[in-house]
Amino acid sequence: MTPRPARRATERERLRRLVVRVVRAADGLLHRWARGPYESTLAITALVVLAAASPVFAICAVFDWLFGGRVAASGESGTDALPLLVAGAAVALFALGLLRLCRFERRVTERQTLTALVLGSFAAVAAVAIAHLATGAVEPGALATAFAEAAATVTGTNSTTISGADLGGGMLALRAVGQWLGGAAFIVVLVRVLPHLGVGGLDTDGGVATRSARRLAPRSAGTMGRLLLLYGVLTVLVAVGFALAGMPLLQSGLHALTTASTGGFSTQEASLGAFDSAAIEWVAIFGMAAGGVSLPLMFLAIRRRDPARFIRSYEFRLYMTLIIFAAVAVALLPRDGVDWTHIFGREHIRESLFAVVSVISTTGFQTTPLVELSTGSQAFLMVLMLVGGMSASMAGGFKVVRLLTLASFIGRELRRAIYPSLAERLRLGRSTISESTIGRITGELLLASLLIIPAAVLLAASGLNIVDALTYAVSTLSNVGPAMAAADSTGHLAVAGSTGHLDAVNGLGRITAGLLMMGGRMSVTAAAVALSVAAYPAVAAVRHGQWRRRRPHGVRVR
Amino acid sequence: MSGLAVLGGRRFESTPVHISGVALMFVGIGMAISAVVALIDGGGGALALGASAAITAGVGSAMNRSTTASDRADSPLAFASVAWAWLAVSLAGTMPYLFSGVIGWSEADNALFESISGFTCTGATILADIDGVAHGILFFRSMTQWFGGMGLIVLAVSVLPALKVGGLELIANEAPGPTADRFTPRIAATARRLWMLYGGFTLAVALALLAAGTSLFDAVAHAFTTVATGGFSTHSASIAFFDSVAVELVIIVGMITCGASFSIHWHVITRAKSQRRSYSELRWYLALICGAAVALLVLNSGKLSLGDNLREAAFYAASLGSNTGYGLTDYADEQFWTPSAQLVLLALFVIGGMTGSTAGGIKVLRLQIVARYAIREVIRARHRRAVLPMRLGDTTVAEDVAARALGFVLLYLGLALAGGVLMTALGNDLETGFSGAVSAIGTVGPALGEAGPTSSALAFERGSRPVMMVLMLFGRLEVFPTMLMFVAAVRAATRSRNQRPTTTRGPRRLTRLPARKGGWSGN
Repeated sequence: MTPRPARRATERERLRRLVVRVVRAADGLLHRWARGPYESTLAITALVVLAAASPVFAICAVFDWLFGGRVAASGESGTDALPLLVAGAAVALFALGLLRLCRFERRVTERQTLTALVLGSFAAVAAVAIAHLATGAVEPGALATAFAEAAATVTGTNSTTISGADLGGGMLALRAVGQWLGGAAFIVVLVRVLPHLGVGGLDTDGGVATRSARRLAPRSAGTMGRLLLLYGVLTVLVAVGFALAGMPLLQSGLHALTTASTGGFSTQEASLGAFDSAAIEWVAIFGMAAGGVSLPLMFLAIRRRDPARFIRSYEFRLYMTLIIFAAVAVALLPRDGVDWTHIFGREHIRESLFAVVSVISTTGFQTTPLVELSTGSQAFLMVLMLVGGMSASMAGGFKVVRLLTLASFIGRELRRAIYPSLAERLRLGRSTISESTIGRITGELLLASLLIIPAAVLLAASGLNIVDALTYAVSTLSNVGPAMAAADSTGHLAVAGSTGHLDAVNGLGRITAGLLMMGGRMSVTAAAVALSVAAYPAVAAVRHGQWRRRRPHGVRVR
Repeated sequence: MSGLAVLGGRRFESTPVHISGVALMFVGIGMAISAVVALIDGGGGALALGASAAITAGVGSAMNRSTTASDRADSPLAFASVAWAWLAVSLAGTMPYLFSGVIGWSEADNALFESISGFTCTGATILADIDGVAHGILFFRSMTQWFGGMGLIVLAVSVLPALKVGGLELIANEAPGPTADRFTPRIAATARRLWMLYGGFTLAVALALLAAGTSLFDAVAHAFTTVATGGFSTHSASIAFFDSVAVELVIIVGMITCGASFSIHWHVITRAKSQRRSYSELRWYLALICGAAVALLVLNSGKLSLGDNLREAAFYAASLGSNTGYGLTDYADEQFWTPSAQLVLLALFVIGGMTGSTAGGIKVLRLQIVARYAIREVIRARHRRAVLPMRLGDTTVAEDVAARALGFVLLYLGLALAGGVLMTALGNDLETGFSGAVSAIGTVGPALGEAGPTSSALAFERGSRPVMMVLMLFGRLEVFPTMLMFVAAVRAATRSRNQRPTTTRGPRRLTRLPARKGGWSGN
């Protein structure tokens, strides 16, 4: 056997090796550092997330110091720099200090992964909340508000009490970067955690074109790298688009971060509507729509130079159909101030499309407040919020593929009503859907529906109307942000634009909203599992307690 | 009429028409009774009712006599028969309103709404001034709900479970009559027992109401609509008209009883010890109503005085927990009720009463399945290889049963959502539109927003009311039958075309489907 001739590494190969080396080095350092007495994967996850937040803080502080004046409405640079640096250092010290006490576990079980995921996201929220409190973006001591703001940042929900105009450059950057990193973390979770857990059926095949997300490369790390690269490229493209459309350079960078991640935070109080530019809105429409498209699908279509892949995907087709159908419906439904002659105007069509895409991709940018649309289109948009974008995309919501699966499930049940002993496998294109996947999807939907009404009751109890509470619960659970408002009695909502819901509720409502956002992002099943793990001691106490009536197992009383 | 032979003495095999005929004859009798009430009362409407009775009974008997029931009754055919019968009686039920001028001819759609709302035991009314309507018509109006309930009780206890609609076969075990494999032979017997029970409850409620101090007419009319969990009242102010705690208590007990499963009632009354089981659904049902009452008490505590709050909370928890829809004060008015309490009511709209009762909604049993299913998925996410049978009380739920129940719930929620979007698109505001759709498919009656318990269905835009009518029919017949009625009708039509029409003249012996006994036709 002759040895294969040595191949010269290309630039890309070298870059890849560098990344791998850096990651390995960090991993080794971590293992060497964390050699304390307490063996806990969960604590390590949370602390690592916290520690990783501090470089972000530092970068944002530097950004504020250099360019803050150009993005902040106040025009001053460096207002947030010092608090951010101090907070970052404190968080890092705290996290590293505690990490020293921890030790890696030998074996990590599946459910620990899930709990670690939930705990990690709470750690991220805690870090961002600290930043909000340190810079004075929320009033000192307003913990509920800080939690809700941080949850909105991490989960990519455009729901806030703070106007972009009141923030310094550092916080603007941190919030935008936070949403983007939240999205990036979601990709990691999507590729490395969810397929192994199969939670909520998100690993379902999105149609013929996208097999499951982990098959882009032989190793999940490769898949992850590719998806992150695509995500980055998409962000840069959107930024360039915004800049070409006439947005100031730094602003377009920040907006691109929140567009590609379907987060929706803006530096302006009036969101994207503040720029009042058709070109910018078109860029945003395409950016948001792309954010709602499955990343693996996009990657494969680009890699194989095969745009027909999109058309072959059932999920993509339905996604596009929904967008177009809803845009037409929103444009055509009569509303005050727009008569029939204006309906076919370019402005009107763009406005409708913008509202629809912003909602279905769960971005939440605004040009026209949702309240000003006709009630019929508001109802449409609420349903779109529930649906959300494609699976394996940056969007939140229930996901189109799950909807497709459920629709075929219902169809089968209807056919079963005619032919009671029908045996039929559910299919999506050429692939079959297993019964356990259907179970997961249904379970997810049912959990979410069981959650929404109590959440809405809590929101209503903390100061919202019925319509406000219900739509806001839906909106936060799907990580959109803006919601509909009843026309009367809560006039301040209409004034504040429809992102004012979070502002209108008290602390209880803000905590509810924050938890809804997190539950929506992680999938309700994952959140419930984490909760059940946390509640396990209590459950065990009840289950094995003496006072419980014993029921003999396996004996049926007839 | 026995010699009536349409179309040259030939009888066509069409079960839906045959059964619709039976149902129409029943309704005709009801109209005749109402005409007698109108005569005794002297408030008018007797002629209109009499004419309607004659037409309905005539058409019904013609339909019945000119067709025969198929002796091969499969489930689509049964679905079609039930659904078409419901539609037929709803159409017939418009006549008294139109003939008596209570609802003008130009508003025939309103008459249909009222009639459908009656026969589906919904209780959404189109009449703005109910107190001004002749007693005979009001009696008929209450009676439509009672008839609807009568048909429904048989459907809910034995027919739909036997046909395995939406996982309802779970209660087939508990039903006093047939189980899934022994469906037809005992259905008439079951129906007779259930109707005895139903009539007994009606009588009991009527006597109790009389004792509580209402007039005879009010007692009977309200007993009809209480037992059917319908919710039509003879007064615009609904139960608030009486302003009496005693009346409210009677009605609360009546509503809770009739929102519970009739097969359980039968068991309790006949003391069938051999069938001893713990009724987990009953426990959930009562817990839900009590829980809702407590939640309402807490959420409304700032707005109402304690006495009022207790009355309202108990009444509305029972009224909406059983999907009856009687009203006390206007909960939709934010002066009296907080929005969060109204949202609790919305949850009750969706859930409804127990299976095997006249209540609507997704039913408590299915909520149980849904909850267990969701929890099981959570457990499964933790322990991936766990084999977890689903338990309800003492029974284990088979996977396909659970799947059917879930399919039902998903379809139901989807329809409610789609209906809400349509209602809003047709001009209602978000709150009224969505709650109206939920209320219609749950056959509740009152909604939130502008269409609270003291206002009428006129609060909905006229164009959107047909949506509600469709939703009421869907919700009432457990969604699947209504969705399949056209499918089944087409199938039956193609099948009968492929066969020689039966030419027997005399009454045919029915082996499989004893529809001629009026067994399970609906009314």
